[in-house]
Amino acid sequence: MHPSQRAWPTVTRRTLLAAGTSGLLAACAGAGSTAGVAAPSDRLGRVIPVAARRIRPSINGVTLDGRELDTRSWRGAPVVVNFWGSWCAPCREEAPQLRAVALATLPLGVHFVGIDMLDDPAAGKAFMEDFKLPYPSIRDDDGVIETRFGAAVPRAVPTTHVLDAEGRVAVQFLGKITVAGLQPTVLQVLSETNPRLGPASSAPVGSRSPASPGATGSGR
Amino acid sequence: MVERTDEVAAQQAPSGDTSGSAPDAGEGPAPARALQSLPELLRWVWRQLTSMRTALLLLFLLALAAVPGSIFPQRGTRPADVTDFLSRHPFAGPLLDRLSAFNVYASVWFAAIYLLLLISLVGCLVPRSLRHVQALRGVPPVAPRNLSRLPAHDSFVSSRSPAEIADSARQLLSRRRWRVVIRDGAVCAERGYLREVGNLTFHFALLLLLAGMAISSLFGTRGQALVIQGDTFTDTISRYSSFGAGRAASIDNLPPFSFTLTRFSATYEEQGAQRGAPRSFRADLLVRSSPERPGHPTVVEVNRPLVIGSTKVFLIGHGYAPHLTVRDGVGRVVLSSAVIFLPRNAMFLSTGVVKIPDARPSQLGFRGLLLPTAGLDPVAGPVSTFPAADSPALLLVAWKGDLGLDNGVPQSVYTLDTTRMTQVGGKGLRVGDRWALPGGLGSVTFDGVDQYATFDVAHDPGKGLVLVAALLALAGLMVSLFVRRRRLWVRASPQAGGGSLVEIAALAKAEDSGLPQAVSAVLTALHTPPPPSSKANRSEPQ
Repeated sequence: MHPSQRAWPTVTRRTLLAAGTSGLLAACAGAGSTAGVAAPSDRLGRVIPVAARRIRPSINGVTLDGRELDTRSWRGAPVVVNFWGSWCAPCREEAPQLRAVALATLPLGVHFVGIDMLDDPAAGKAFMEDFKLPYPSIRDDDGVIETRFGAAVPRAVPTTHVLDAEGRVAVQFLGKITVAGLQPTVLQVLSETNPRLGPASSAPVGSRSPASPGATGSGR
Repeated sequence: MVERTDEVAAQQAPSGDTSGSAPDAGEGPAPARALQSLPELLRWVWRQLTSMRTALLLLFLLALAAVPGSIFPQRGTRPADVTDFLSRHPFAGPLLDRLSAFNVYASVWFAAIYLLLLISLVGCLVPRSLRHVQALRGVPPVAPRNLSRLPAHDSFVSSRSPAEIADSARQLLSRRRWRVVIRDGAVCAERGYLREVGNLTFHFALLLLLAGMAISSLFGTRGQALVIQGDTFTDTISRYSSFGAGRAASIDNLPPFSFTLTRFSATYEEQGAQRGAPRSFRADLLVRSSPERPGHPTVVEVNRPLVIGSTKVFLIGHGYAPHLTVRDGVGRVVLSSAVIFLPRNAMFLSTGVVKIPDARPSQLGFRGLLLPTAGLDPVAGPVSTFPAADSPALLLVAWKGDLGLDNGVPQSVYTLDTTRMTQVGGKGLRVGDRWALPGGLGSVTFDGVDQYATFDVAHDPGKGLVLVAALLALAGLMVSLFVRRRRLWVRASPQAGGGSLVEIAALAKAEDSGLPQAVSAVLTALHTPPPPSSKANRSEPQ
């Protein structure tokens, strides 16, 4: 049978990720609630114990503004990896929140990198400009970077990972992130190598600043 | 197909009814009587459920229940068609949806039939197999007292003694591969055990078939991918345009192969009434077993899928993706790539939308109509007259305003929600044309037309099992159809004055028209040396 004689599989690309035929995909979809709350589920959004971190993805490529980037040069500090696309509505909604977390934690030595998925480069660049994201993004056209995440491969866009100081996946957020969900987690991963910067249990996270690292220093 | 074996039937032979259709005890006046006590009722229900009749009925029901799956679009494979169907049938759509018409194979009623069939088969097969194992180990049953009342029987008077007759009958039947035993002076023989083996094989194969289907639907995955010529598809969930996985499928362990569509080509009938009919499709791929390995070139055609482990990649369609460059009002390039359009008819008139959420000063949206070989019909207006992109034209309608993307609610890349947008104009473009949008909103350039191919990627771990089960079922069925289960008795009783009266009788488990011949063959063999005064009344003289 010739393809064109068949009923056409009218596919809703990308959206399906969102609209969701399976429960997993639906998670990305609208709700994104899994990522928004502090302790969403056992597997997602919770910090994996150091000893159980197995995945160490290397992330390198050319950024949307044309520079070479390799996150290996960032070892020693946590790296937040955000898979996004300018076409993806939840990504557009979470972008300002990501920006807020980045502005708060970049000065603490945390690094951020975006992975632009299934996107037009020009559109991706415009997205980065529009949302004034203070970190670079690289493209992953051939899926190489994505597959290096192994079992933590993003199952929907957006997905956000926090890598620890040694580059291992420490946390995975499926769906939209929020400041309230992401920032304490980033700080917790940061505190593994720099206990003075650990998240205070009670102090509002937003108030933290590099100048006055509100000390909860336990090990010092 | 097959009746229940009933070991008792032979012993009851004098009744003449040996076809195995002896009704299960209590089946007749069942409910009324069974209702007297709960255990009895349950036993009755169990017997009904595990009867072969019920199993066959359920098998038929299963086939019937699969029919809506091919009539209505299914969520798993054609989700967009389901949405389309629902919007076109506002009354019947939701009703059908509640009946799981769009998800037939995962519906409650489909599962109910499936499970009942499973229980029925198991409940029928296990006791039956045990009985057959016993029968295999056992010896042929004793001869009925009155052999002449069996449906096939014959007798003659021999000059040999009963012991001699019994001995030569035993040898004869053993040689002909009957299982023989001499009990109470009579030779009891049985053959055709393979029939029941074939029978049981057939039914076990049905079970295996169900298991294979279950494995496929539990552990299988199926997705569709649209790949523009020159692009790479990687087998990760985010790169599928639609993806369905069984409940137990481990999507983390998808084999992460990837392939680049280096070239897609399609040819069409150029002349005559069939003009435009597709003639060939071919996708040249560079396939990598893992995204970072070197690729090897492979050709995929319509019925020649790419096979990677237990995953198959089928070429199922293709289409066009106009390459556009969009600049916004401040002069930034905000899009420069091929946009996938979906074909709407055999001439590949295609529609699609372009969304530019980051354009300034205002978000832009376009609805487009792509005509691969553009023509103007006096009645229908712009049409495509040939499926190849020989003379492409693109008709665009531009909108400005709020695309509705920024509130986080996902939407299809193939639809444009214009409720909060205003139309700013429309334009027909040929390749190379540039359209300056009114009101300083920017410009659109139609750079050319790319091709894309649609692939169906199916991981079907139960497929091998289903094939084996189907072959087994066939083999079992053939054996059970061609092998006949027969019992045969030879009794020689002394005659006054020497010699013996030899009685031969046979009984079959099922309808067996060859039974009299079997009896007369034995008779003939025992009869030689030459018959003195045969009393063979009904046997054909030899």
